[in-house]
Amino acid sequence: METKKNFYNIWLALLGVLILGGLYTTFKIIMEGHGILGGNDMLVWTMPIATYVFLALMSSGFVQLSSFPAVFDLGKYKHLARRFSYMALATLLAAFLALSLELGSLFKMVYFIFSPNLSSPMWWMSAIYLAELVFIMSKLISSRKSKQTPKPLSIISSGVSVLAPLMLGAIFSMIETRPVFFGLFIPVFFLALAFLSATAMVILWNFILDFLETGKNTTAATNIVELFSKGFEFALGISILLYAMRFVFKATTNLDAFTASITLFPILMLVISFILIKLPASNSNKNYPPSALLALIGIVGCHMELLYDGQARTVGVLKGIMPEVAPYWSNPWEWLIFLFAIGVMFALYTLGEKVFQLNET
Amino acid sequence: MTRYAMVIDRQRCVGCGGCIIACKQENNLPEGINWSYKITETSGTFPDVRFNYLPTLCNHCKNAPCVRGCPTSALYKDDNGLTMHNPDKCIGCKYCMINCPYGVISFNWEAPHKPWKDKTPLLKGITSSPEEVTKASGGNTIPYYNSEREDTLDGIRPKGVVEKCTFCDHRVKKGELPYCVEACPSDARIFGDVEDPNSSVSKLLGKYKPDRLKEHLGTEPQVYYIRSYNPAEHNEKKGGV
Repeated sequence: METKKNFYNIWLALLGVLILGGLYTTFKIIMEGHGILGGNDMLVWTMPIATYVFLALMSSGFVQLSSFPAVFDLGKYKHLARRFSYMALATLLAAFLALSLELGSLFKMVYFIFSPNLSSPMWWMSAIYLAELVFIMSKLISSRKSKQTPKPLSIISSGVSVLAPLMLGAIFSMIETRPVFFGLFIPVFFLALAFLSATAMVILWNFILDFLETGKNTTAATNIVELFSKGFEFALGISILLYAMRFVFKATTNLDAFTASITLFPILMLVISFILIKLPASNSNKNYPPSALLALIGIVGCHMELLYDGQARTVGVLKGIMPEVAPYWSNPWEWLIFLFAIGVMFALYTLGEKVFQLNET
Repeated sequence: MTRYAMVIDRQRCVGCGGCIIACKQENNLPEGINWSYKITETSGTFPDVRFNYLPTLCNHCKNAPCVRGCPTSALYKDDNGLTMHNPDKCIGCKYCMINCPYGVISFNWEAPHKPWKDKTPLLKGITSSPEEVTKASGGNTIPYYNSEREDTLDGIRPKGVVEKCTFCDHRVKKGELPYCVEACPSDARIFGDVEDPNSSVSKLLGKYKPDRLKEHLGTEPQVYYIRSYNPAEHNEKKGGV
């Protein structure tokens, strides 16, 4: 009992440190501007945007996990729907937090409603994610008493959860200026990553929660692994395949824009994650949590690499002002934003487990 | 219907950078932001080497990708074909900067003209502080503040928003030329209504074959480049083996 309390206090203290660091970063950004982050007029979108994309996709993945059982009559997953709806909400709020720290003038977001531009992929992405937020909250409210979500609501929200990652990818895929971004790859890849990141987080969070509750890995955590192992493996395999295809295209093209960076880190993380769960060990279920963690690290690496690749080569007049290929390292303030969002996400997960009854129906 | 365009004569441009400085002064631009700039390319090897200057600015594209992508319509096309920006609606998402193929949109990463807000003199009791210089000269934030810029846009744009060339719309609406055009010592920039067949720009575009930057992207830029960099003749006949 004492051990469990110690683990729990350490966990809360860790989250508290991450949140405090983030609050200090917020203060610095307000006082000194976004110049403290690692971006410039060439590398415009950096780690805060990668954080937003990572968490927004994960949120869509959670909506898929909470909706698909009702849509496709997958009985053995239905009891987890409410928990996944809550995790989707918590993750999306953390994503919006990261985005709000990236925007130059957050309070002018009101013009998103009063001065919309319907030809802008970014406007549509914002609208769809707002709709996703509304559907998540509707599902939580409707399932509060009955513990079940009405099927029509599940069908609509599952459609939105597929559309949202595609639209987020369309922000990049419709930029003709940046050949690395342009085309169908990113929306499809984002759809795969949404499902992968959600299943990975389910496995990881249940491992953490189990540890906090009991101080060890129990049957409950093993049951979750067994429920989601196939989905996780499938999503991981698809993501590795898609990323490897892109890697081959990059390596074989003559276009300058594609040769800005060749980095093996993201795909290495994904491949090692896959190998871990395929090892012929007697109790390979124990490998799932570390595999999930590596997969999540690899996914963040994928987002960072995609963002950097698309912006690294100078365009136009910037060729006279900046190096041909922009060097970039995330600076401490960007890391603090990332950790702030992660800390808030886990804090909301923890709060949800303690305060709201997210358990089986 | 009016559609303003600019013709840049590469044969006349000497790369002096006068347009860059004029623009900075006219629009109260902070350090690090240039609405007008130039690409300097080196061609050949010594002794047969030269610099080629390509003045650049917002191309005020007919199919502006920045306008298409802006989620709050902060970037828009006005009635004269100019691509304009409203800082009041700008959320600072920087999507326009990613969309722009020419790299001519800048973001205010920090509060502009910070050095001029410094209250510390360089030599105490001998020199004035930057803030004192601004006050004494009657400027607003900077001693050389141009209040005419306020006619159509914030005189100094705040941190957290983007900004870019407006073809000096505040001057154009008064019947004056953009300041970079006015300032050019060699008349390398010619400005006018490309829809008017009698305008200088229309005549030049008829007389010389123009080219535009990144035409293959379909943006239809309204900045045209004519003639070549070097009017000099050469004595070489047919070469040799």
